[in-house]
Amino acid sequence: MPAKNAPEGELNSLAARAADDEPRAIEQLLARVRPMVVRYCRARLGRSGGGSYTSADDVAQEVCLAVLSALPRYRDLGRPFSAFVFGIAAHKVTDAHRGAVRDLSRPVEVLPDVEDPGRGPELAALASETSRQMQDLLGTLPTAHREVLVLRVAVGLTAEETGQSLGMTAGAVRVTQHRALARLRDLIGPGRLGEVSA
Amino acid sequence: MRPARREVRLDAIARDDALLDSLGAGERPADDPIALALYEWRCEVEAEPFPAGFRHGAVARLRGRVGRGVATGAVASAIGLLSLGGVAAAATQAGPDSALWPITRVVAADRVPSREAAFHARNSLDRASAAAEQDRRDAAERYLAEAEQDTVRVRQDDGGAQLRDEAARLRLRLQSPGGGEPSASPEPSPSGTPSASPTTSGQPTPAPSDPATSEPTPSKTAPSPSREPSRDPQPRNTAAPRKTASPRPTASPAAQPGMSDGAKALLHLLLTPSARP
Repeated sequence: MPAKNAPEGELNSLAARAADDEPRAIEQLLARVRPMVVRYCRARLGRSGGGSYTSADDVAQEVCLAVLSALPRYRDLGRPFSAFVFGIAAHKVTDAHRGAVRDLSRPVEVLPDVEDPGRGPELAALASETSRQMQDLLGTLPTAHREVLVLRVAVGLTAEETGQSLGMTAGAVRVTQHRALARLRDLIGPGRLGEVSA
Repeated sequence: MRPARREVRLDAIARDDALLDSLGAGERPADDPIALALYEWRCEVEAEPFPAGFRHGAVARLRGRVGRGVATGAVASAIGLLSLGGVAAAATQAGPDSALWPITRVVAADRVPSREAAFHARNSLDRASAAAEQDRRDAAERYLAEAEQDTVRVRQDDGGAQLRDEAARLRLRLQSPGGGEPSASPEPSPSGTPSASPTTSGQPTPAPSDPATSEPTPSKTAPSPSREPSRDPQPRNTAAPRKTASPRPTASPAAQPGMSDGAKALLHLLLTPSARP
């Protein structure tokens, strides 16, 4: 898995070239941006009813397509490219959440509690469960807290990159993430996630 | 949820920052339950391989949203007709091995058969050449036959002429008595080849109609489909090479003024059904 993300400056200049309709740059930009977007969408949306990331990955692709088609606007806005990308991603994820809520009222299709036979091993199920709980917890946090944790942990951005993506200073990111962790510790309480470390 | 007012301590901030740095780098934390839970959460995100390219389904779904009540072919050809710069142009030029290919399938659907044929023809030709080099005549013949089947479906501006030339040269080489000798190289010979295929000189080729790449030149329709199956009721002169090695410069389709705004709107509609700036 790629742990390192593209440096922001490099990404910005690549985006500028892509916005100038340079085909190679467009492809390279897509290759750089996509893993970050996939991480973001998976972290925010989790697995779908069947236990796969199909829905999250589909949303990630929609984000990439939207980013590509909105490229000409990028220059005009003049903000860091990552802010542009994650701004679009946040909108798309919100839309997907709304769609999922609407889907619940439909009497057909996915049953949420179906176990995926392919994920048999208990450990995987436990990790998956922990991950799902974490996602639920993140959903109870204020938006800024949640976004900071998603970008810092799941996407793997630095505090500086996270700040650029969210329009905050790195210092504000550090304070926000500290508060977010404190809140999570409060919510969970000692011992409640003890099984995770097993 | 009560907004917990708490004292912000610098050392705690620094500690949490270091923790998140290591989590973000994929390192397993020691024993802090919340850190371990965040770690599991991150691992879950990576638990399945990332999609390698765009899944066609997702793109088709986008198209489905836009295309309700509109024939997708019509949308595609409208987009093709107005052929934009930027992503659309990049996608229009993309081949099956490109990350943009599924977009190509939407914005330039009419070019897909030719591109795919070019892609397969290239592969088969490479294999045929390699087989000929190794004196494996049967294999070379087989690959060449495959290549020949594909090349007839490749449009001029997708490198059809070059591919057909190359196939014809290889055919000639295989037919000659010492056909498969290693010395014979498949590189282009400057001498004219007795190929039935057109060269880049603008000889009429039956090709799928592609308004996107046609320059506003008078169509010298000379329907004499030689050995190529007529896939198009209107054999015409395609005259805007894009991916080909043809030295001829391409008149940019983006340079068609009055059309571009509508096209941009249409493309935007197609690609961003719910994008908010």
